[in-house]
Amino acid sequence: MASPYTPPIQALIDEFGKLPGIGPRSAQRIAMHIVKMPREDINRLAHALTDAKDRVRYCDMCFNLSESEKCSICSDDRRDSSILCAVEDSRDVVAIERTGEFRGRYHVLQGVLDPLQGIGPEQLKIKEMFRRLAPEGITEVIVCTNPNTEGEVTALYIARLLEPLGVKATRIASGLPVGGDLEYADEITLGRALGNRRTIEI
Amino acid sequence: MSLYREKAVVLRSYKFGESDRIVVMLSENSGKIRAVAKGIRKTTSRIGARLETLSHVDVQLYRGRDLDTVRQVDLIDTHTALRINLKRLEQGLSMVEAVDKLTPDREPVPHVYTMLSRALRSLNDAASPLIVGAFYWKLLSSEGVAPALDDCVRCGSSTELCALNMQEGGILCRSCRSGTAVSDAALNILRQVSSGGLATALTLDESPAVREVNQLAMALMEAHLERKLRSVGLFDRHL
Repeated sequence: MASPYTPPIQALIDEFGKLPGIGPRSAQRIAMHIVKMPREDINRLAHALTDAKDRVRYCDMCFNLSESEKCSICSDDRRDSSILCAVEDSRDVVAIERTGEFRGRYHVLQGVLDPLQGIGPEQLKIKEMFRRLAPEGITEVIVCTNPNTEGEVTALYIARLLEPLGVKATRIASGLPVGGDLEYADEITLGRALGNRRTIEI
Repeated sequence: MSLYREKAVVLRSYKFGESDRIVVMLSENSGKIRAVAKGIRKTTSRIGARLETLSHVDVQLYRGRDLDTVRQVDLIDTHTALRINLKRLEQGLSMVEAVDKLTPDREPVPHVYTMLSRALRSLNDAASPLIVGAFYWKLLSSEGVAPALDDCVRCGSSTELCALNMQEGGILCRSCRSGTAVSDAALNILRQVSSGGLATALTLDESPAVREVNQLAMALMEAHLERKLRSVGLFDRHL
C-alpha cells in the first residue's frame, strides 16, 4: 500500500521513527507539528541539531561528552584530582553531578564488560583510565557502574587490576531507595543494605 | 493457560525499550523462555535484582504471542558467592553461555535444567577448578556427542590410549592416534566424570591435568556449537 503522506513528510516520519522511544504514531504527530511550525523555529531546531553534532566530541582525558579537548570537569582545578569515579556512560556523570556529593573527577568507560556479549576490557576505555592514575596522582577509584551482573563484573575486574598498583578501589553502595518501602525491597538489595549498615551519627 | 509458573535459571538478559529488559531463562518444564520484565531497570521496580544472570528463581509468567511477560519473581538462590569472585563468576557465565547456545527456545530439557542449577549451586558452595570442563562434558554426553573413552575406537585396544579425535568419536591408541593428545591423568579424570565419579572429580585442585580436561572439554564444546564461547578466559586477556 502506498503511503498516504506526501514523500517529504513520509521521509520526516521515517527519520523520527528511528529515534529511541518514538513509535510510528508519535513520529507522525511530531512530523505534522514540524510542518506547521514557523520558519524561524525550524531554523533554530535545524541549527541546534547540526551544531550538537559538529561541536560535541569526547574529552581526551575522561571520555565524557565535551565541547573542547578537555571537558569542563577535567579542566576545573577546584576539583579533587586524587579521587576518580569510573562510570559506564556520560548520562551517569550527569546523574552523579546532580547529587552534588562528588567533587572528584570522572572517567567514562563507554560501556561495561559483558562476557555473554563478548565485550571484553579492550572494547572499553579501561586502559585509558589506568594511564591517568600516576600522572594525576589518583589514590582512589570509585567504580560507579550499574549494580547488575555486568556492572559487578566490571567492578571486580577493575579492582583486581588496581590492587597491585596500591590504588584503593571502592564500589558505590547498594541499598534501599530513599522514600521506599522495606516490604517491597527484593532480598538481594535488602540483604546488601543490612550488610553495609552504618552507625547512626548523632 | 495464559498464566504459568516455572522454576528457572536466568541465562542472560538484554535491555529492551526505555526501562524494560528481556530475560532469557532456562525453565524446568518449558525449556528456554524469553520474557519481558517490565520496568526492571527503574529503581522503583518490584522485581529488583531478582532476575540477574545466574540467579535461580521461581517466576510467574504471562504467555504472550511472541514474548512472555514476567509477573512475579521469587528467589530460590541468588548465588552470592559466584558474584563476588571473578574466577567463579567467569566459570558460572561460561556454563550459562554454553547452555544458552545449546538449547532451542521452548523445548523442554529438564535434565539440562537440573544439571545447570546443581552445577551453579555446587560452584557457589565451593571453588572447583574442574567444574566448567566437567559440566561441558556432561552436557555433551546428554547431547549424545561425548567421545567414547573405554577402548581405542578404531582397533579396540585398551592399552596405550593417548589421543582424542572428535571425528573418530573417541579415544585412540598409540598406533591409531590422531587428533589431540591426552595424558593418562586427564583421561582418568574424564572417565571419572562420565561414570558416576563426578562429585569426587569436582573436589580436585587446580593441576595440569585439570587444566587439560577444561581445555579439551571447551574445544569439544566449541566444535559442537560451531562457534566460539565468549565468556571463557575473558578476564585473563591482557590489555
